[in-house]
Amino acid sequence: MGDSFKRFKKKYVIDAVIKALLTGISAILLVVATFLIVTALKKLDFNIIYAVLIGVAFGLLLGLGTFFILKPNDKKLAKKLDDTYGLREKIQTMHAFLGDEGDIKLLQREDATKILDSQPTNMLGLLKGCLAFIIALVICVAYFVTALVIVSNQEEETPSQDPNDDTQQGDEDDKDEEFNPTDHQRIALEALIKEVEKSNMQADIKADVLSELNALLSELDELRLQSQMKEYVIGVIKNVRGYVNGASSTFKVHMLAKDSADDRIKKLSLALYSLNMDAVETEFVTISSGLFVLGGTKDDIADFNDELGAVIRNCGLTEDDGLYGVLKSLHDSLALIVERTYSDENILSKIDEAFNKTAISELKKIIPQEKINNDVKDRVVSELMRIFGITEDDIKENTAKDDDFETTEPEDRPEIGEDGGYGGGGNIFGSDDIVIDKNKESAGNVDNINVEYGEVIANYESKITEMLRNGEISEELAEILRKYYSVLLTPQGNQEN
Amino acid sequence: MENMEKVKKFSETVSLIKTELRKDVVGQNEIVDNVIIAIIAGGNVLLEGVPGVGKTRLVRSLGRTLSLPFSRIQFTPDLMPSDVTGTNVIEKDATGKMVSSFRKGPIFANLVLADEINRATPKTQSAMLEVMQEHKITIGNDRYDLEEPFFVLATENPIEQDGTYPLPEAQMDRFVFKLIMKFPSDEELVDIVNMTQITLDENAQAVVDGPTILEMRQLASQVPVIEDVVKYAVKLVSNTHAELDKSPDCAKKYIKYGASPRAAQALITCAKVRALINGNFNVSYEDIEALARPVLRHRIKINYTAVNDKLTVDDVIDLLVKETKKK
Repeated sequence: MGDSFKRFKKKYVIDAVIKALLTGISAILLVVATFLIVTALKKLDFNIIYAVLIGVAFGLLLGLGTFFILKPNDKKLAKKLDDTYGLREKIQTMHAFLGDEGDIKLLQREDATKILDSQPTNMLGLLKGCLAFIIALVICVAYFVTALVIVSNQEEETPSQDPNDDTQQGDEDDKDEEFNPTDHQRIALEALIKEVEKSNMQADIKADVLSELNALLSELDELRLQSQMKEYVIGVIKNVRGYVNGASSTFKVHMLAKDSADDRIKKLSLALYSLNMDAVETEFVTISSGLFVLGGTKDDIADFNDELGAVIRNCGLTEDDGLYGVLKSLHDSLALIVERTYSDENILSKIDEAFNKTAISELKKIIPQEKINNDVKDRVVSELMRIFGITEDDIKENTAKDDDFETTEPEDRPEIGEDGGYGGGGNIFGSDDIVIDKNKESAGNVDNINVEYGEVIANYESKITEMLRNGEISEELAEILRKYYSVLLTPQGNQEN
Repeated sequence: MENMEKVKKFSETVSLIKTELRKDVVGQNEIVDNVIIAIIAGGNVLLEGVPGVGKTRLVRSLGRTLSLPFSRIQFTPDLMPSDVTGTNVIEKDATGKMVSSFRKGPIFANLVLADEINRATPKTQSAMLEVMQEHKITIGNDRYDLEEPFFVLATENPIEQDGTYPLPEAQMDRFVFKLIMKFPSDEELVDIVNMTQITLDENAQAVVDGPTILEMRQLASQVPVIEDVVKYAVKLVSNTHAELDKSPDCAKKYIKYGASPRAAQALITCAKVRALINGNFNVSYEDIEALARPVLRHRIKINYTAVNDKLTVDDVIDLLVKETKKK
């Protein structure tokens, strides 16, 4: 074989090497990318090193296979040259009769060599031959980049390790992603357990809550998916709420009385449910002072007591519940007032005694403990939500199927705080400086229905003062009212109101 | 290099033959080329064409060009085998004794024109079989060798089939080529008319003799053919056999019976000559494809399906060439 043939052979060997390399690299990228995508989408715990090793092995195998398939032997190369350059089987004939003697065969060899010499062996043609392989490599690279993007997206979508990162916590979607408990979550949960242990929560409830939290801590490693984790934590939250609410007499009363037809019962239940003693006392004063008017009938007392009795019977309280004894005692006292014949002053005195002395003193023992229980419960729930990135919507969605009201929180529960409702800041009424006056309501003008709080209360106070001055109110009741308005109209009260 | 000179002489001789034939034959380039290929390859040729297209003129002109003993036999229904081969006659010798001696027929020539061969009876036609294949004649108990090179160039008319006897397949197979002479184009016809106004005689001069033809044949036989090309030629021939399982669909559909092994031999032998004539020193697939029609068209018989589909033998051969894969 002449130099030309060797030149072409070298070219096609290079061509085979390049194609084999391209094939091998494409195969490696293809395999690794496929592993990445599959492990990311299926959330499999698969080490990337294994994927790379398998990819390299596959690439080597395919690359070597490609090389040996494409690497031309002399016969194949002769045919390839004939086909490529349209040489009418000259090169194949030259190769086939290489060792044969004979003038015609010699002439044939010379002819073939001469023609082969005139053919170009530019590398551009080689590149053209590799075009399909290059395209395949580009596709594989694109596929690999896509896999990397998918994997990085998957990593970004896993629950945040930063408990303050609300955006990541809130961005969880419906995808069932992998859950890997972080050290932070574990430490935070352990701290919460210690916090509960140290709390003054009612012993039996505390035991139940701690049991739930410890179970969650031990189960953390078993939870593989975000959905499993969420379901479990929400279950813990529901159970904690269930334990506390189930043992809360104020909760039981409120759950029934909130829908009462008697506005006073409704307000009383709300005050109890707020677990704020000041609010409860104020509500008691308000109710007791409005129950009986001098010279009037006892119908109002009877109506109130009937409604109170219905609440006691139906709210699910047992004799063990502290609130049951308080309300029952109040109910009995009011029943006695209705049954017996007292002077008006005595009735007012008895009412005052039943409400503001007996009941309040008992409630001062019950409410603080329930408040502690409730505070610990709220702390546990909020911490669990923070640690595991659970939103109130997640809980609502999960509890939508749940009929157990004790595991849910009523939406109208008054907030306990400095600035509003029945908070501990000593406020007596609402936090707003303005109140709604229905008499001033007019269509299309919302501003007109708002009046200054001070203006309303001053109006009430002047009317009461006038009644006192005219002797329309008994001395006993007058004392209560004076006390009420003195508290209400103190500078501190006004300022805070 | 002796053969280099021979190759050069080969090309020059072919060129000379063509030049001389052009003096008497207008157009029909492919026919002329193929007749020269057949002559060098040592094959017999069957020329088919309507009357007046120059069949006989071509053969007569070739006879002049080759400078070989030429004889013409006009085949007729009453032509007897002995009219072709010769016969034993009883005659007096110099001493006056009656002796039997063999009188050679017109077949004893190097170039024999069997004009309108299909008009002779099968008995006479079959007298040609041994001559065409073995270049020998057996008369009685005696066998006579014909002088080499020996060719039979037969003509037949595709029309006027009354009173004709189609050649038997065995005899058809003895022809290396069947060439179809087409009606000349208008330009060619003008040239023919002008040429014959001057003289009806052939003008071709002898430019090659018998030994040269034999040398050319021997040289062509040395042209190398790779195995893949031989296999392709063989495959092409075997694909004409519809009865074979591996034959292509077109063969199964259109061919009644296929070509004999002589076709494959003819393809390779003639392809070597064709390659050398074209200046190549090896046989290519293209040579085989180019010779497929003249080699195969008289060796295969198409069926009624092909006729129904308005396909000619050549069309079927083209389909076969298309469906036969090269290695």
